[in-house]
Amino acid sequence: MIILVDAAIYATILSILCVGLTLTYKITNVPNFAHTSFAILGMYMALIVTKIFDANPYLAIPMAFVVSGATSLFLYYFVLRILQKRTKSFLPLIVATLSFDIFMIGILNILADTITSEFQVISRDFTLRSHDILIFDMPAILILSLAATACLVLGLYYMLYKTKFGIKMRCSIENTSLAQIYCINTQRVFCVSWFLSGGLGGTAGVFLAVWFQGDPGLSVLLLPSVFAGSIVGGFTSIYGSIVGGLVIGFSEILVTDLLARNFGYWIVSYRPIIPFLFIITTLLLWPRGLSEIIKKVQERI
Amino acid sequence: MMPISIDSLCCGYGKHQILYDVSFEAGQQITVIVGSNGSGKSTLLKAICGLADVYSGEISLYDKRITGLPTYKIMSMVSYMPQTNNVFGDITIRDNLLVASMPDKPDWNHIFEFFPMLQDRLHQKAKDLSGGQRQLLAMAMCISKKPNIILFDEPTASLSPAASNMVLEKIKEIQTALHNCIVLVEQNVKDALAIGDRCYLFAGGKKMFSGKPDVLLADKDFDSKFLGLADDNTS
Repeated sequence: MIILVDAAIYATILSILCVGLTLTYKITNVPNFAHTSFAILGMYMALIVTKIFDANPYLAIPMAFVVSGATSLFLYYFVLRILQKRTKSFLPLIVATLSFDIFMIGILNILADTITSEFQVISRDFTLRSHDILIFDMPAILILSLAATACLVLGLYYMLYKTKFGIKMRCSIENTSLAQIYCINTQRVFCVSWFLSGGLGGTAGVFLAVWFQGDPGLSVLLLPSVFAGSIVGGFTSIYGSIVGGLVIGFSEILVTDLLARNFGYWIVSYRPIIPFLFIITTLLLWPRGLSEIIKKVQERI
Repeated sequence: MMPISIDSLCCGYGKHQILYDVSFEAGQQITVIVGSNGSGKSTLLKAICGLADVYSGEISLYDKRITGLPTYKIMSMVSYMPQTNNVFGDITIRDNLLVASMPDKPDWNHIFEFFPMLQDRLHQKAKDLSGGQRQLLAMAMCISKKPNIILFDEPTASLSPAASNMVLEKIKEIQTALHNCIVLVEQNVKDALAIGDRCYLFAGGKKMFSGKPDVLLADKDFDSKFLGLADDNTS
């Protein structure tokens, strides 16, 4: 049972991260390799709120959303936007996000050291699981992460299809220059999307901190799983990325557990192979991933 | 006040200059721009919209200088229909018209007065329309804000002769009803000049002629100019 709870929590958190990654890729064509560092920033916001301000970790969600969102916006506005003006090439943008991830790991290490030295709080390999509360005899994280994913699906649907901003966003995605011709401030749309993407990362980070171990270097370990979820989802389909995140999350936990029971626990350290297998298989055999199926379902609805 | 006034414009894309010292004016009538491929007709419209790089010269709309303004600000004064990809295919016709009318709501009666065929197809996706219907939707998007200035970039490109005539007739109908300033860039020269009040001939990025369309049509070198022979003057 505990393994199913673990898998459900991890899969829903991964879904939230995949949505953020897909959103910025779909809108600005940038695969953001620094995306998971926003989640780790969210983890540290949860640590600060819980251990320094002695409050419930979930109260860190607004702060994590804003801080991670602002960091993501900084990356887009001051780095990627300027690079996009100078070059049409894809490569400098990828290198820039990778560099930003390394920069973020450095910043997170400084933050972790400062927390430990100034407040005598353990800031590496920490978990806030003991601070979680129970709802209906179940860990609140399970219900809240599931609820967050459900809200994300409904909220994104409402925003994209029922609001003027959503129409502007869809137009900017489809044809940026035509959107500008119809007076859409595409830069504002892109900035909002990057802020939203970072904010989702930060929120996922708070959930991660409540159930899993946090460390400044965790972003590198998390990155293949988030990319795998987005790629399985089609990489341009927001709803596909939610399903992709769930598939990768459940597979990683359940398959690793199954193999460990049969072949021994040494196999757990090979868990990162699972997302890589998904990435390779999807790109080779099914490059559009789940996006085609999601599109058909959407058209029927 | 002249709706569009351009003085000594030099512009292009990055380091690639397209227009050389072009002056241009368009009043509240149909102004047709003709010329061979690569003569800079479409670039002139893009420069007005802020979509091309202006190196020198001035562009003014109703005496207001707009050179260097971002596209989305210029487009609150102008409607522009690009040659291709001029509708959002993945959204419905209704949403296309909503976007084109923003920040106001669409005046559906005004739109359906000119384009009644759209009335029954509002919930259809724009990508499902035929080429001619898509051009009509793009034109409907252009008039949805009741603009004083409309720029049409080859609206009959890749359309059948019947659909081309329908589009050009619609442009004439719009100008007659709204008395606005329409600039029409066309390859379909003779049909376009037939509905124009004033015309410009471009070659090699320079203005070669401006005046009444019948004067250009009466020019005995008219055909040779459209074959691109006039480009020799500019290289």
